[in-house]
Amino acid sequence: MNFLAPLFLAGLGAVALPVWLHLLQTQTPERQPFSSAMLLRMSEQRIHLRRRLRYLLLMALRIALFALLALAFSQPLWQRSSTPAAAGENKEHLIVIDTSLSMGQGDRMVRAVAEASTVIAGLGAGDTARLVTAGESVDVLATSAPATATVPDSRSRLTTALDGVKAGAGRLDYGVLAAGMSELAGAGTEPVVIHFISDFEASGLPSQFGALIPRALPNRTQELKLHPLNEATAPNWAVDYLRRTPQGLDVGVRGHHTAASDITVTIGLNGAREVKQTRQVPANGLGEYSFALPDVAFATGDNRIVASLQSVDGLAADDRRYLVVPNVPAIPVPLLTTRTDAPLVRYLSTAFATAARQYRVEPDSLAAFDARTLERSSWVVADDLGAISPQLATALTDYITKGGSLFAAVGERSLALETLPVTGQRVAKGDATAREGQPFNVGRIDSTHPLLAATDGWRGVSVTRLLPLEVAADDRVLIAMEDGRPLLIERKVGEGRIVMLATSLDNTWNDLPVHPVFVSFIAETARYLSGEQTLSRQQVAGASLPLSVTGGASGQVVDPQGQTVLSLADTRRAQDVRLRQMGFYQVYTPGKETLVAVNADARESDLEPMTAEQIARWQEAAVVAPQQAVAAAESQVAPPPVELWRYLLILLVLVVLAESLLGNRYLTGHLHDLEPDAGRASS
Amino acid sequence: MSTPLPSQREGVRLLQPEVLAGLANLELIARAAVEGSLIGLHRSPLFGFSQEFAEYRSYTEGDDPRFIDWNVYARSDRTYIKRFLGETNSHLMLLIDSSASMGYGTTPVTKLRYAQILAASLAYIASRQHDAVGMMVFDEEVRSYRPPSGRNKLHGLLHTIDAITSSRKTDMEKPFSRFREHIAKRGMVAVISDFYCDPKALIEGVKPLAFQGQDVILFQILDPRELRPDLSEAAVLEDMETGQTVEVSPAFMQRDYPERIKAHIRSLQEAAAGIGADHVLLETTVSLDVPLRNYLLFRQRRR
Repeated sequence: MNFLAPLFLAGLGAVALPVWLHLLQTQTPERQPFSSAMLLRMSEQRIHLRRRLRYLLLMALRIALFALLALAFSQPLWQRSSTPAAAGENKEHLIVIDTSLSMGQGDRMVRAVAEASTVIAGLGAGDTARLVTAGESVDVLATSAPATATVPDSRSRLTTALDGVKAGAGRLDYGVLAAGMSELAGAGTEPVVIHFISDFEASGLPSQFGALIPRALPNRTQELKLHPLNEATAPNWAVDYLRRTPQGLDVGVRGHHTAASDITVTIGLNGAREVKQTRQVPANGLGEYSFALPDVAFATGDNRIVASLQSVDGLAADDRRYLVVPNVPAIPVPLLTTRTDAPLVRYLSTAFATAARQYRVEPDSLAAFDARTLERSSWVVADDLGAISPQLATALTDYITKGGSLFAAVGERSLALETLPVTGQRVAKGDATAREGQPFNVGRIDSTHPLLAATDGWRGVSVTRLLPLEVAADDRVLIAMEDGRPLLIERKVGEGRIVMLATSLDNTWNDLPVHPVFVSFIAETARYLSGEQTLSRQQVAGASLPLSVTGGASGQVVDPQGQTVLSLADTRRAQDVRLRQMGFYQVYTPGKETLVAVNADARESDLEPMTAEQIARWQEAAVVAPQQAVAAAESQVAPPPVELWRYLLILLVLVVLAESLLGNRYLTGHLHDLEPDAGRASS
Repeated sequence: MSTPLPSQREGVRLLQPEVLAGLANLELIARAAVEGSLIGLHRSPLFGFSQEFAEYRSYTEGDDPRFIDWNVYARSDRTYIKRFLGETNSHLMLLIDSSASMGYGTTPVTKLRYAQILAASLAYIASRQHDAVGMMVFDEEVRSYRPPSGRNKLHGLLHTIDAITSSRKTDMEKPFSRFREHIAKRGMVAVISDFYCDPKALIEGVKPLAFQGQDVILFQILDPRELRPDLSEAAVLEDMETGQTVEVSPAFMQRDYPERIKAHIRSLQEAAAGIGADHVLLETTVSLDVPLRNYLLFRQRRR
């Protein structure tokens, strides 16, 4: 039973009140010596006993009254639990084969399939079974049911499906698997036996051992049987990383349980150019390779880079690594300023070059700016809104209304204005300049806004001058100072939006440009105002690629083998795609083509298995799981809980009525006892 | 209605049990009780001392020569014996109940103490009348027994009465049976008890005495609270003899119990009357002249 408001249970202490009053009233009368009890009526004793019982009942009712009141207020919930079915002889077997990347080492998969065949052969006549693979995802390959008069034994489906089981590219976390097993077992009443056949890689262990225990099911017991392949630790080299540097490419090769060896790494660029480099990789260490590739070496658009090493171990899948290097010209972002050589240009250029390389600053003098060129840019920057002429303000307003975006700041020219151009914001009265040595500090940050969700460090920014702006009803204050005045405001105008900074964008009124947050802030502003949605070009095998990021559900995905991943129906409704292979995926969305590189999880390359003790411990704990499952069944969400407070209130009313009647009778009887004349009259 | 004389009032006050109980010596108590009682009786023609002259009788052999009236001999030269009213050669046996219930008392005088004073007074007054006085103290057994004896044994008798303490249960049958074994001579028997027993059983015990020619008077001594309980709230009453406890309500004690005790007394009176015995109900607050007067009346009737 659970309680919605358990604090009210403290009210149960009130039952002490009637108990105390009872004790006060029913203290055992003092014994008085009397010459002889010969003439005392013994029936009097029975009358008192009856009266005492009546009072005990009255006290019980009063205790129940207080207890029910406290219980009703605590709103108890009764979790109905369906009666677990008695365990029969028939069981359901889940035969789970690890198909993670590491299972591709040597003949592991062959032995795993053989082990699965043994399990299938040992199934009971009335047992059902499902063949499940667990790698980048958990998939049911085949199901068998016991033979009946009309349906022949379908166990052959399992053996047939076994033939198609191969090692994948994904990583298997055993904790995630244990959690998934409970979901897979699902409804049913017969006991479930989960056979897990794996190399039991140590890197697959979750951080907490308890995560290895399958979650208890309400109505059925579970038993986990581990089938380790008894693998010895195998040496393995893998390409650990491949990344773009200003000079070219860096490659890392890591040896797991290896001796020092000379390893040759080959870089392939768009499938044509190959560059090789040989270095000694230390024992159990990391070998780092640097390939000098000038920008001109890359083709315009997305470049496919493949780093591979000589296959000298039993696991070839992690000997290659893929990288997408986009090589597109940066998009110019107009900076409307009075001084094209101002330090702000340098700040913005550095920020773009660091975190948003697809953009570059294009300073435009306000005096010479041609408003007709606004249509070419998705967003513009203005360093001092007060310096914008009325004509340009009108043009900017039209531009924003039609869907453009403006990132604006204020400066010296804004100080004298009562109303800012373009935004129409009124400048409130108040001190714009902080007292010396007491700068304005940031107070409240709306971290739920996408512009600020990924930025950190605003608290350290000091503002010496702040234009006090009045906030309109539709404005959203993203950052406010400690005194409540807005620092960063977003306003939607028509189809577009304005992000307004109430201080300067350079370091004349604040120290924002010299804080690390400036770079991430400018990068996020660029992404937000340009409407760009990021799609990571580097993915891990087994991950899901969200198609919505690439422009919506409609589209198609082509895997590294050149096969389309989505069916015709899925091209319009699929929200994401599971990346099951390593290599380059081409994602086609309306008007856009994106290349995504998929690599193996580096943790799969460490082939060190779990120790025998760890496996034995897991096995022992999993055997206990069925008892825990029954015990925990009540806490599982099965049928909806029943709110008991209504019934308690009904009971409370009945108790109050009973207490009133009984109390009245008791009181009447008590007075009757005390008034002999009345008693005689009544008799 | 005549107003009592001051001396009478003083005498009555002296006979109040609590006043008598304040005296330390039981002999003194008895004397005070008897003298005080007789002060108010000296004018009554119905009462007298055994020293009062009754008649002259010729001396015959065997008579005590001490009782020859020598004055008459001098005048008539004949020997006459002078006889007195009290010379009836009777004896008084006091049967005193010393059971635990007699220890009950809500006044300064418990029932037992009242019984002691009464017994002492009766013994004193009997000795004044030259009656032999004996006593038996009993509860469920005979605790002590003194056969009837003359005046010179009064002091020892009073001492024995004074030493009585209450204890144990009451059982009339065995003591009365023992008593019958010891007493053969006709006399008076005063039973002093609260009589918490079955009236029929009591009478069964007393009846042989009556048939034996004994004149029996039952002094039933009760505390005022036994007759008129005053209980304001429920209480557990513990039987002083058996230890039995009964929880009673005020209503019962004020409404039903008095009826029961009256019925019990009534049945005792009827049973006593049935065998020619007297029954005298005494509250421990009642002045001693009442029982003494009853005794003298009783003795007078007997003579």
